[in-house]
Amino acid sequence: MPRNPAQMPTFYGNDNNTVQYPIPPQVYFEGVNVDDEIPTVDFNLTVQRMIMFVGATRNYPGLHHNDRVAQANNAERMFLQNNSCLMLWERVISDWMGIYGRVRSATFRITNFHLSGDIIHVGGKITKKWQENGLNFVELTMLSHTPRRVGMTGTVIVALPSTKYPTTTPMWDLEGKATVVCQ
Amino acid sequence: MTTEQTPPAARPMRGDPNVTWEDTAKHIGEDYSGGIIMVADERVDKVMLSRYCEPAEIGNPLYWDEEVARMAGYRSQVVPWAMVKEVPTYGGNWRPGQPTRFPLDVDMDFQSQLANRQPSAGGPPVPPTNAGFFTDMTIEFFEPVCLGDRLTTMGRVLHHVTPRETRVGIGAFIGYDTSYFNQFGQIVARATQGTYSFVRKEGVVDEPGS
Repeated sequence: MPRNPAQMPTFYGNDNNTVQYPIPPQVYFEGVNVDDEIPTVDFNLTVQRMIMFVGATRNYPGLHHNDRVAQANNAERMFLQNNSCLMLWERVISDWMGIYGRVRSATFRITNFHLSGDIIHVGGKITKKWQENGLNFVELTMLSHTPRRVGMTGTVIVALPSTKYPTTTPMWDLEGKATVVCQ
Repeated sequence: MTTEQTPPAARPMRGDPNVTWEDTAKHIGEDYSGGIIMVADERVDKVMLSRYCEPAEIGNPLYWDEEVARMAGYRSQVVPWAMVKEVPTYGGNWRPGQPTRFPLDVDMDFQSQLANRQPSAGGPPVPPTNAGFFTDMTIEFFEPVCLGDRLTTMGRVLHHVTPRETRVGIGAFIGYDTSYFNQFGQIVARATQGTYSFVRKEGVVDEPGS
């Protein structure tokens, strides 16, 4: 029996534009130093999580979601696809750099499979700090540890805002020159 | 890691026995994309952004909240930098009118041919190898990728060829350059992706970067 529409609760879609998520503390160029470590994160690679990574990237080779296929290709069991390994660094770095930091470049080498069942420990350290072309840079040396050994190494260069322009996101052109003033 | 376990049979040899890695290196700078320009089927949408962030639980509000992203100077919600290369899919994994990718006469571990990710038309001449895996990547970022963007991928230029013997085999590290653009023709990223192609040594199990 249909209900009287007048008695039905009214549904309002969520179309407001208010900020919904907490804004993390901001890191500024002047506030960081070489040898500073950024907060680490441990990732538990359950099978369910491995499959979530596969779905997110729409990258479906069986190596990344099927133990039998991985073993037939000389791995112990399913392992993370390379871009998913990079997503672990994305989490650690984007947690740290706030909303006004921007990644300029990333270089990484995978040295050990990130296998299902592993807990991957990811951290980074500032190994260089400089100003160039109107931008404020730090180089993070990143490390992912599998339970066996180092699983991924590399560096990520992050452009940070300055306290002089605390709400300016660094932007650059094809030559790497700042297109907005950040220093 | 090197273990005592017996590895599965290596894949068949591919390559030209009359070619050396030095011959391959002579082709550095040549484009093996076949001139193909791949325009993504899909624009970046909010669901994609959530899916990217969920597995690693990436909570930076730039990726979740349009207002925060605009406040920080972006056009709209931002694609996580680590996902930029994964945004484009070309032609999807199946479209109406196409034959099934999952025929009835294959077993449950069958690997269907799904979306192509990179413009590719052959490669340089290489010596015979029977194994290979991804090893490394360098990616530079330029314009941010935001909600509503539609990416185009161009180029597959041979960047480096470095012959090397490792614990797992004898072969070479090979890298190709690819560039990614937004719908305004602005470059958003340029990536060099490396693999190790090799002849497997007997009795070892693969390990990236060995």
